[in-house]
Amino acid sequence: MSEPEERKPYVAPDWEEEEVFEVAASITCVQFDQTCDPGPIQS
Amino acid sequence: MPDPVPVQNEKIAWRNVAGAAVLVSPDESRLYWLNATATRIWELADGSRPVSAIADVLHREFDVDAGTCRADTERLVRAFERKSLLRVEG
Amino acid sequence: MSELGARLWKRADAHCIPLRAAIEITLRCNLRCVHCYNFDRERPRPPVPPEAELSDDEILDAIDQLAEAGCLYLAFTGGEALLHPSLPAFLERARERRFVVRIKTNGMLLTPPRVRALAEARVSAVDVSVYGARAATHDAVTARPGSFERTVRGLRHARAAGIALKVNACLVQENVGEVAGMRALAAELGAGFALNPFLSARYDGTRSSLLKRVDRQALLDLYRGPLADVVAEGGYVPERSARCACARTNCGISATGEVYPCIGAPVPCGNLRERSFAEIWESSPAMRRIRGLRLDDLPDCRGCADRPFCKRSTGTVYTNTGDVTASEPFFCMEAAVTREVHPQGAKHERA
Repeated sequence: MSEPEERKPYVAPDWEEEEVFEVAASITCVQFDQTCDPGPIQS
Repeated sequence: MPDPVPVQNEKIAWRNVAGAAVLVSPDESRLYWLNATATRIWELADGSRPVSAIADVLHREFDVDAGTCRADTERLVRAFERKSLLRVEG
Repeated sequence: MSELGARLWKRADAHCIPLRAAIEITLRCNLRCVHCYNFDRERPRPPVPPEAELSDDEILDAIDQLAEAGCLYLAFTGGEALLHPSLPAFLERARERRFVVRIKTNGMLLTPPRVRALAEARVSAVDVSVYGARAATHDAVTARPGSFERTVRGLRHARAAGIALKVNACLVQENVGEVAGMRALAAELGAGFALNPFLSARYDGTRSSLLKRVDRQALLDLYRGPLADVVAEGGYVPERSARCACARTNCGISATGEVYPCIGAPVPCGNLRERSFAEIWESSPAMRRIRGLRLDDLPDCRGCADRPFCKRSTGTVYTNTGDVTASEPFFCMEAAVTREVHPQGAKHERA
């Protein structure tokens, strides 16, 4: 006999969207990918 | 009641990133971030099940009544169809 | 970076999802660039024989494993990626697995039919290596006469097909005076532009590539001159960590199946012929060590006031010094030059 799985709290389906712009010019830390730097991340 | 089958647009790149589906438009110019429920709908929209079946899964997995999740699923599918994130068959 | 973009990378970082990966599909190349990090191409035979390279099936499997691990942004590189006869099959698999795909190339093989095939395969972007604004300069770096013309032609073909382009330029002593020209070339082609001054030693242990690095005065002149706007835009990140995305949101796979924290960080962590990607990514001691690096682990960096201006790359530091926690004078120098030039620099006293 199996217990019914506990249902997760429901939030109406929703989303966010955004225009993404690639930087026109950059000085990269590595030659492999411009956006290698993940941005401000606390060390 | 119409019960169409949603199919992801295969030109949309995407991943489930720790529970949130992140979608990338074909020219990489737009990013979409889906909440948990929308992520589930998106994952299930693989062309194998109609909206009613997707809503059934939501009803099983989430604490929501059948009518609400059916209406919400339809609404999301229509919205995503307008954005060409998916197409609808049948 | 956009808000959603920043959130994406932050989430991937928190969960150590390798959101970005580069696969080196071959070490074969039609050029012999003097600064190439793969190996010294002036040697009579490459250190890795072609038969040691991953098979087509192994590469396809690597693509699948990366998708399962959560990778979204996949770059094919080399050597020269366009030389691999099975690239179309790899692109098809990447498309089926819903990656965002870019190709890194010298561009010489971007003929109209190949470009059409790339566009049909839904390649999102192509990064093309350029080493000068003039043929003489570029060809001296690639050690191949006529290469500049072919590269520029390739860029034009790709532009005509509507593929997003980026010009990747390595800064060497020979092209210091042509940075403005290279930017103009990129702008004319509707391409983005990325300049890398941080040359590394080669993965075969040879170091003559480092001789090509520019000196402090050259960098200062560039940062005050043709790159002033770039420095002002992105040169100052107050919360910047001295560690990078290695082993957290980045990874690399070498032509022989080695899994690296980044394609630019050739730290041996495991090989796909022996273990699964997931196992290496999650359990390799070397991978975990780099994943866990904090500012406190970098003895020369933790007290440094230039940190907001520093673009320290774990991979390049490792390649050049053998130590992932080391500082490397070239990065320190570049950070100091950035601080000197940047509008925010005056607020920061040199430590």
